[in-house]
Amino acid sequence: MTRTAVGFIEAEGFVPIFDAVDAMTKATEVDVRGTVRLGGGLVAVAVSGELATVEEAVEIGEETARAISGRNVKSIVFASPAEPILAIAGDVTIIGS
Amino acid sequence: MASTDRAIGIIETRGVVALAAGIEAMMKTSDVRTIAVERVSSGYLAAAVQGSLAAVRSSVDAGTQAVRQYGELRAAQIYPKPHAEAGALLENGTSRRLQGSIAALESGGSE
Repeated sequence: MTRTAVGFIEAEGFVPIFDAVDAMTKATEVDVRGTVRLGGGLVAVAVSGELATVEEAVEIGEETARAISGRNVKSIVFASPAEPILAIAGDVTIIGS
Repeated sequence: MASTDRAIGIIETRGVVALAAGIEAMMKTSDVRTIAVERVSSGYLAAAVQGSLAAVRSSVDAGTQAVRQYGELRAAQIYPKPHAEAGALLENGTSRRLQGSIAALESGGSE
């Protein structure tokens, strides 16, 4: 079974993430798994799909979020994520609301 | 589970990007299980792994390095022989949810 790639973007505030999701879904066919409020103003979004799609989406999303928030935008892409990473991407309520 | 495989390692980070980087590094460095993810608040998250002491030690070392690379590391601790009551603090229901991952990823919609 091919495992899907997973990516996360997080930023301070909801608007950068909203904008990132908008840009990512318009530009690529990535699956947005959900957004999550981590507390303290941190908001994150998890995406999954083929590796090339996820890499492209996360790059676009991070750029978009950074254009608004200026700083404190972080991202990561997992080509072949470990089980707990898949679990978190599949059900982001594990790490927040 | 062998009685020697009960060491616990915990890393605490701010943000999910750093946490995920840490978990990935810990899981892929040595033979440990991720037994819990703890939500604190204010963006702080902790992940706990369990296995033999040597495995936990090397995984926490790798995890802390990965976390520093991607964000903020709050704490990293190794418990060679945690007391049952301390271990019970990690039983917050995430252990089971962290296993059923592939199903979750496939069944969940993409709204």
